[in-house]
Amino acid sequence: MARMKFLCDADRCIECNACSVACKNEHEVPWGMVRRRVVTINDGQPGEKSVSIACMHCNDAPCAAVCPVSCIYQTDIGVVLHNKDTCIGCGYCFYACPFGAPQYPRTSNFGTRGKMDKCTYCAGGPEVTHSEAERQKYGKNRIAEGKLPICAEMCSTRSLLAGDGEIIAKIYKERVARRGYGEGAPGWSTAYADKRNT
Amino acid sequence: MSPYRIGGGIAALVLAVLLVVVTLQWLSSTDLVWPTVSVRPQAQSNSTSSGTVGQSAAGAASAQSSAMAILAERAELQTDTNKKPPSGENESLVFQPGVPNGESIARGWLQAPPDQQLLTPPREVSGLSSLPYRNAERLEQPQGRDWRAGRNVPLRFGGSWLIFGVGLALALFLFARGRVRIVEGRSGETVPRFSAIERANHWMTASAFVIMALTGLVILYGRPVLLPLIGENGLGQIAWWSTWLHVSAAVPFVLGVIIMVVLWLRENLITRLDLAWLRRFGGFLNDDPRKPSARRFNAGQKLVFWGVLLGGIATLASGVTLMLPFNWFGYDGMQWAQLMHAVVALLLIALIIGHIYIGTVGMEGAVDAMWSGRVDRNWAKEHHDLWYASIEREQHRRPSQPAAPAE
Amino acid sequence: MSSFIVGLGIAVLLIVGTIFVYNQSYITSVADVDMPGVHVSDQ
Repeated sequence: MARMKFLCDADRCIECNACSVACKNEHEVPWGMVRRRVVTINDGQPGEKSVSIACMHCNDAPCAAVCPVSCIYQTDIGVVLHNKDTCIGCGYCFYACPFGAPQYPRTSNFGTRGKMDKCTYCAGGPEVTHSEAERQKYGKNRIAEGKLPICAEMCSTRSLLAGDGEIIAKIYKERVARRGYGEGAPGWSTAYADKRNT
Repeated sequence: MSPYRIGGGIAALVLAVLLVVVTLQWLSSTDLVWPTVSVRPQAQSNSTSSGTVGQSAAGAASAQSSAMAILAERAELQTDTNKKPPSGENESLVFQPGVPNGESIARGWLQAPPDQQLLTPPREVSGLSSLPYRNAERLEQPQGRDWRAGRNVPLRFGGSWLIFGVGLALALFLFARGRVRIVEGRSGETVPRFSAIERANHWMTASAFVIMALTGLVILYGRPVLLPLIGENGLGQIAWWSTWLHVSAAVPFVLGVIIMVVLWLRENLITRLDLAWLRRFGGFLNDDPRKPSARRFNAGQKLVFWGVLLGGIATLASGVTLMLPFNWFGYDGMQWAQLMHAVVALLLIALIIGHIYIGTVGMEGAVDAMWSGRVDRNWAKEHHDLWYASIEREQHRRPSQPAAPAE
Repeated sequence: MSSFIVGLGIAVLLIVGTIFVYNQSYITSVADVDMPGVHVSDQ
């Protein structure tokens, strides 16, 4: 069955951080928390690559598996969402997440780290779609409008792709064939190809 | 058969059944996440009844693929042909709870992995990020999946095996042996054993421990055990309170253990007597009045003392590490801290279950020591002969304070 | 019996006290993500 994925072309990303800013703006993410970030590897050296990373909405999502209150759930298009009302801020999803996607308002767990926040694939949360409660807690719901995540749609170089996994894989492979190089889709083995729990 | 033995037998039966249930679940466990909310086009959702009762898997599948078809058109616009995406808001998708065959959908996704050429091997990758928060520069930490696997299956099932197993062993012992009686019978006179401070401190520590044990068990077992009973909102509430109580209860616990060390360390040092005591299992196995010698604390009690002290230090260290994430350790350290905390805590819970057993049901006359502070003379003579002898010597030096009759 | 009540009572007092003391700073500072001293009262 088809499912949504993210693919960041590390050879094209120019570290402009437009994805990061677009996401923060669209969802009014609280101060100090960032849902999408850009990581630069080998900064200043030959072979420098930048990758835009946020929640990958993994198959068999480890965050959902370890949550003590089962507040993280998955939709049948692959998008992983969570319920901020029942979240206890324990931080376990962060220990499990291979990509560091969950964010918390507080640094320490003296009690709780506050309600976890993360990339929603612009698909909102358990509140009523397009309601004020959904907007305040989870941000804009673009998927419900038939649109794709704004980070990918705003990417200045089209390095960040979002959408049906088959389609974006095809786009990326065509690109690699045309230009002659491409080091693969960062994080895809961990996010989408890890079969250890089947 | 005494009521104690009958009670032990019933408890043993219940625990044996629980143990079998846990074992069967362990053997057949699948720690897999699958989708539980469907996304479908608005038009299609209006035509079906609300909710997904009676919706066939095929119907659900076609609804999902129509949703994907709408989004697919938009995804195609990301090719390098300078097409601008439409900003129209004609489409509408809705989110509905319930996915008829969620588990097989999840398995399907995993059975059809992406093209080999797209996949780079999972490895720890760190770079630089311009964003000012901890771990921003970490791109990938694949070991999180190992931690998830270790916590969700071996730790969870192993822990319940430990607790039910220890309970079963104690219940069987009670069934077979019955209560350890005062062989000579109660004398009717008591001698002082624990002072008011010792007792109040013990109960403060014990209350804090029980609160931490229960709240900790909610965090580890809330999802498999409580979620089906009280639902997601109920569990969220209980778990929220458990998080706060668990961490605050550490304060009286640590304080209490420190006071216990100050008061009782000297009398808990290991001596030769302890080996002899252990070899004869404390004399608990029969009603021979000649029990192995012991001073104020016997080898069993010393085991509890050192277990609580060392286990307490381990859980405190790992607990504080968890309360200040990434302050001292990176991902590996935090994951190990969580596992260590849970393992040591479960061992402590098993130890204290044994401690509570022997101090209440298991042995006649034992609970008086911590409850009223005074124990029956014959109990003292049988189980702590050397201690009894030493306090008798004290008595004779101060004849103005005779032993009090039993209350 | 009284020692049990005293012990339990002190434990409860310490727990409530700890929650109270920490809650003070918890309520007033919402975003302390590596930016200590920031107090955002309306989020």
